[in-house]
Amino acid sequence: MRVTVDRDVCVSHGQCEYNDPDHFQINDDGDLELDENPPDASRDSVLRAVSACPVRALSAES
Amino acid sequence: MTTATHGAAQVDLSDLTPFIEGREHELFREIRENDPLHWNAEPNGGPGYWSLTRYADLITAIEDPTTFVNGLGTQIPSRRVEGHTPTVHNMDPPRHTAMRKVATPHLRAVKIKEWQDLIETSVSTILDDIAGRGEVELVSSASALLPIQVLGQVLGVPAEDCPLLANWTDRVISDDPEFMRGPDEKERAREELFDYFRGLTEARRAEPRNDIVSKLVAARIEDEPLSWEELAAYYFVLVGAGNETTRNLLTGSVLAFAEHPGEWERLRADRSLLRPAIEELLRFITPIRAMRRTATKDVEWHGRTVRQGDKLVLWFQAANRDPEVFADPDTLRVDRTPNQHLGFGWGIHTCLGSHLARAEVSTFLRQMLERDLRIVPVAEPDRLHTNQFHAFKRLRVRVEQA
Ligand code: HEM
Ligand code: HEM
Ligand code: SF4
Repeated sequence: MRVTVDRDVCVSHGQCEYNDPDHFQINDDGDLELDENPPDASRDSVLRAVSACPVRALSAES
Repeated sequence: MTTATHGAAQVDLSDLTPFIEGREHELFREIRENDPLHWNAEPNGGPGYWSLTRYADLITAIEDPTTFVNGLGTQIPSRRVEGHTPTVHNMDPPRHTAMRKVATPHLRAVKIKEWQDLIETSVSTILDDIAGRGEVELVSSASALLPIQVLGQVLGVPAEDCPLLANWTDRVISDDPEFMRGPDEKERAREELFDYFRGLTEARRAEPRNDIVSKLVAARIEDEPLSWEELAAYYFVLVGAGNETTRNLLTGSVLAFAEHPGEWERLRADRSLLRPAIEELLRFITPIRAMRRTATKDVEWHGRTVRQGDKLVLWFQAANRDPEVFADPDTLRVDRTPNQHLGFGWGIHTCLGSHLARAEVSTFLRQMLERDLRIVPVAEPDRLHTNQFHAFKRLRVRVEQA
């Protein structure tokens, strides 16, 4: 699956990281680093991370 | 024009009695069902305010932060206490975005692991103490201690000064007569707090450490360091927001499990439920009942007009019990999933300390489970006299070994 972040919207809440730390991390500069092509096996946690984003910066497509 | 049913229109959310008595949900239900954009007159000649109580409506308002701004105040009454410098909470983009970014890397989920040892030690010391004493007052001997010890050290305040921090915050944030020794009590507490942090700021500027004060002192926004006023406001909001909230989630959790003992048994049987349980406790308790926004233009909504300059109150506590979103909302269910509650807010002002708060409360509950302790209220809680925060002054409990 493919996940994208809108950098103009993301404010580094890290709620995505809380839900799926394997594919989403805030680095020391406060910017989100993400795995844009997470394996389908992680689908549930990735989707949980996407929907937990309080500013809807993330989108996922299969 | 939708007209609210008579009962709903009469609901007065500025009357503190139902909040003090723990009957607020009856009122929320009434207006959520019958008066979704509820007008409330204000005591003491205030201009009055609108209230939103439906989950979907809160999301709509929060996701439009240019129409509904924080910069004109977030408390329901029209006033400011933090001096003239806005905090990250009383600020709007673009400055807000930059100000948050200064602190977020240090409060992120993975970073909190660096504080985990400290949290574990703090919790085990507290549990050793209360388990040994049997019957205790929970707020002063546990709930209030953990957040201040943890937050103090995350900020960089030495452990021995943490009781000072607790005292200042009690006085700054409370409207409760109990803490108000004089009309200028808030101002005095604020000055003392700021004086203390002025010293700490200079110490960390000279010799940085791995704490938030050091990070804020070193931060640059568009190549400019934060002014002393901005730093002071930042400390103030972290101390206030980090302290009062987490302690109330702890006290509230004890009460919630007393009300739903079967849910504690489920946790005992399956500790993997701890993670969803924390989210459920945030939903069920909602330590911050409400925050305010101000409209920057006229908005037609639910057949009424919110005028430019009107205050709009987001009742997170009511939205968290909205049956449209949460089945059986008045029941605590430790395995509730999905659970996109608004306990930490939503949108650009979402709680900056959510990961720290989760770590503290889940460590507390996990250690209780490991020791098989039970904390049983033996009297009604004594609630803080405020409608904006779900806060407990005192709760007498018995600590039992299961
Ligand atoms: C249970 C938790 C809390 C309690 C009991 C509490 C209580 C209060 C009270 C009573 C005041 C107003 C004092 C006055 O105007 O004289 C105040 C001010 C303030 N609080 Fe808190 N607070 C809590 C949590 C928070 C949180 C989580 C935040 C930030 C996100 C926050 C941010 C502020 C700000 C910015 C002000 C200044 C008010 C303004 O200028 O509009 N507080 N707090
Ligand atoms: C259980 C504990 C906590 C709860 C329930 C809670 C709840 C909230 C809520 C509902 C908001 C959003 C306010 C709004 O939309 O106007 C908020 C904001 C905030 N919280 Fe928390 N909080 C907790 C713990 C903490 C801790 C531990 C810290 C500090 C380390 C913290 C720092 C903040 C700050 C700085 C903001 C303002 C963010 C902004 O306006 O951008 N909170 N919190
Ligand atoms: S939750 Fe949203 S805003 Fe926060 S880091 Fe993830 S994508 Fe960015």
